[in-house]
Amino acid sequence: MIADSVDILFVEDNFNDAELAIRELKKHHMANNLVHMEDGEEALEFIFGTGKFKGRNITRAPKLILLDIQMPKINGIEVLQKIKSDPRTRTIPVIMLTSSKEDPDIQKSYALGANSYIVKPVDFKGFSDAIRNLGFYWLLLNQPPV
Amino acid sequence: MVKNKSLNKRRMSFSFRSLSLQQRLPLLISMLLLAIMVTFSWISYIGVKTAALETGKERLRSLASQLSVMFSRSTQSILAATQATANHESVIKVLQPGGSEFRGQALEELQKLRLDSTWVLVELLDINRQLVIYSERDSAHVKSRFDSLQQAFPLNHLAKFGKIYQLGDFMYYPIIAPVTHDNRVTGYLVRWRLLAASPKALEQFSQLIGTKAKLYFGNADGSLWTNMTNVVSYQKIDTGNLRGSFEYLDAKGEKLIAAARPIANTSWLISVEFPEQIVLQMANRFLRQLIIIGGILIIVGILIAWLMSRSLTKPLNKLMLAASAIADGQYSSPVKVHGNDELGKLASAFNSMAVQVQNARQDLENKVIERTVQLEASNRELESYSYSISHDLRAPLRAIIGFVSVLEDEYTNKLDPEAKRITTVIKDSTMKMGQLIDDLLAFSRLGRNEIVKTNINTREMVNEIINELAPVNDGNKIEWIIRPLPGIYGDANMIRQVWTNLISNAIKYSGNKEKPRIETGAFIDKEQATFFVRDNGVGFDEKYKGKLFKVFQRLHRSSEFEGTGVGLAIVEKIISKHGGKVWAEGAAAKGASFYFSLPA
Repeated sequence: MIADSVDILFVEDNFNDAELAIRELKKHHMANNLVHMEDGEEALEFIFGTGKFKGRNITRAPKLILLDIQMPKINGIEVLQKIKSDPRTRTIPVIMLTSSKEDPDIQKSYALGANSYIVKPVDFKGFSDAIRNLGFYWLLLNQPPV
Repeated sequence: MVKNKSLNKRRMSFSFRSLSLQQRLPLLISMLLLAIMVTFSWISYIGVKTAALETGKERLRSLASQLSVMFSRSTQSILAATQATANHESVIKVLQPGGSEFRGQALEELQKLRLDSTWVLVELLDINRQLVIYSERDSAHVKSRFDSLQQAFPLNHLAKFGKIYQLGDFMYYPIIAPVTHDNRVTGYLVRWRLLAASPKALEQFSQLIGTKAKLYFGNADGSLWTNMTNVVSYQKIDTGNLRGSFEYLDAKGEKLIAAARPIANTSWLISVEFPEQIVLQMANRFLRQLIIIGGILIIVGILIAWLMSRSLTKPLNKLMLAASAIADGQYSSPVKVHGNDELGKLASAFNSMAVQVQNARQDLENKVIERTVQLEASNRELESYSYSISHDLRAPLRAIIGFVSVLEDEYTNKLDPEAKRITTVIKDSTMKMGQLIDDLLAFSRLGRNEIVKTNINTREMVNEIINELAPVNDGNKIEWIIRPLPGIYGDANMIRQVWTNLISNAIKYSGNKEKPRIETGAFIDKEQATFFVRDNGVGFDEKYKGKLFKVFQRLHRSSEFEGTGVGLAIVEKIISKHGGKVWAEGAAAKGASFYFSLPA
């Protein structure tokens, strides 16, 4: 079963992107407590302990959520909205993942309370650098409110 | 000065055209009425005047004739009495030779003829005009005063009134009757009478002929004229015209009409006259009435014309108001003009036109709304299309590069140099694909974005871009020449894109020069600012100029200069969205100049 203690909740429907990102995080030992959800619905069920994850102790919230915007069924924006409108999950840092920096959804994400965003560049190196840096910052440097 | 002059001129020149329709019609009608009234009045006045004058003259002529007859009649009894005395036996006999015995008897007869004090003297003359006997009322000296006159009056065989003579303050006239014996004239009986009209008689006359009229008596030979009271100077009489009437001006310049007639049995003329003005009084009164009636008619005419023109212009004004309301987009007020005349028809035609215009406009608006909805839908479709391009096309590219990178990092020992070269080619091509997608998206987004215009400090913007692209203190060898650049009113982001693309092109294409030189500047021509970016780089072949600003069109091989062929297309699109123009000059190996002009 999935451990209660989760460092990173990674929500990404594209397996290739997910695999490459997880590889990069693993390389820097940040994927030990990483949970990968393949769509928004699954992610919400995990976060709020419903559906498949009924009974999960939701007080043990992930330290960081990496959330892709473009997903089937429930997209990243909707997931973000749910997280940020619930007092239990509002303080979890959320980093949005997007394909383009011109994406109008970036503005929407910030308005809804996203903490940062990463553009997934075609250039893999740039992507891996960004993942690593943001992961470090939010996991290790940032002090969540008690 | 000149201005004042032209102003005055404008004020002074009155133009009929400058009047409104409502003013023009009454003016025209009143002018017409005035002309008609004046002409009609004048013709009528002339007619009435002529008729009045003719009537007056006719009256005058008949009056003169009647008076002449009347006087002539009144002479008859006197003449008869005189002739009776002249025929008396004693009178005849006293003129016969040796008839002196009858003197007493004859004198007695003569004395009988002196009826009152006006009969001053009765004489009996022989055929040689020698006084035979006489009777006098007063003294002998009266007779001596008449002696000188005895030769004067004509003698013939008919009894007659002689000419009037003046003696001192008085006038006298003789009544002469021949004395005949055996059908021969043997002498003359002459009665002298004082010419005197009593005031009562004069009054009767004036009643008879009218107060303004004047009556004159005179000798037929014109030797004396009198108004019955005094001798008057009355030389204007036309003795040749004793049947009609004549006109003359008196000493005061007053026009008089007169008629003179001989009085039968006398040597006298009678003349009646009165001022023409009296005759014309009626005509003048008629003229005054005409003027008053004419004035009233003109005022009424103007009033009617004004009402008429108002009834014409009021609907026109309504139409005008309705037309300007429609021009302002208000269709809700139809013109209320009643009647079946041209104006009523015009109004109903106008109303139906307004309805049609409104319907057409409504249709048009509906169509615009419909099209806008369609356009918005297709815009949204395009938006989601480009969104999915940017997401979905990139994902495989990311995977390709990502996994090739994994291959390079984690399987580096298992790849020989050729395999490593191939992985590099795969990565580069994929990167290029990514760049192409980005450029294409940027270009397509341009067409949809709204322009937000602000005042741009061009010089500042260009300096920033140059520092961004090729910092001057970065040891680059480019020689920058930046000439004065006027401000631009446009969309800051888009204009920045234009300068960025042009300057980065200039840097790129002059990069392999020994001494690259890039110049920017502007010149202002006919309210348009034209900007340019010039380099001394590879330039381009003028033959292919037409392709410069087209998407994905390149004039250089990728192996020579990198690029996707979108940059200049973006420049062209932005400038044309701003209402400006873009063009280029260049020659192979001689550098290129890019110009864009923006309306001020």
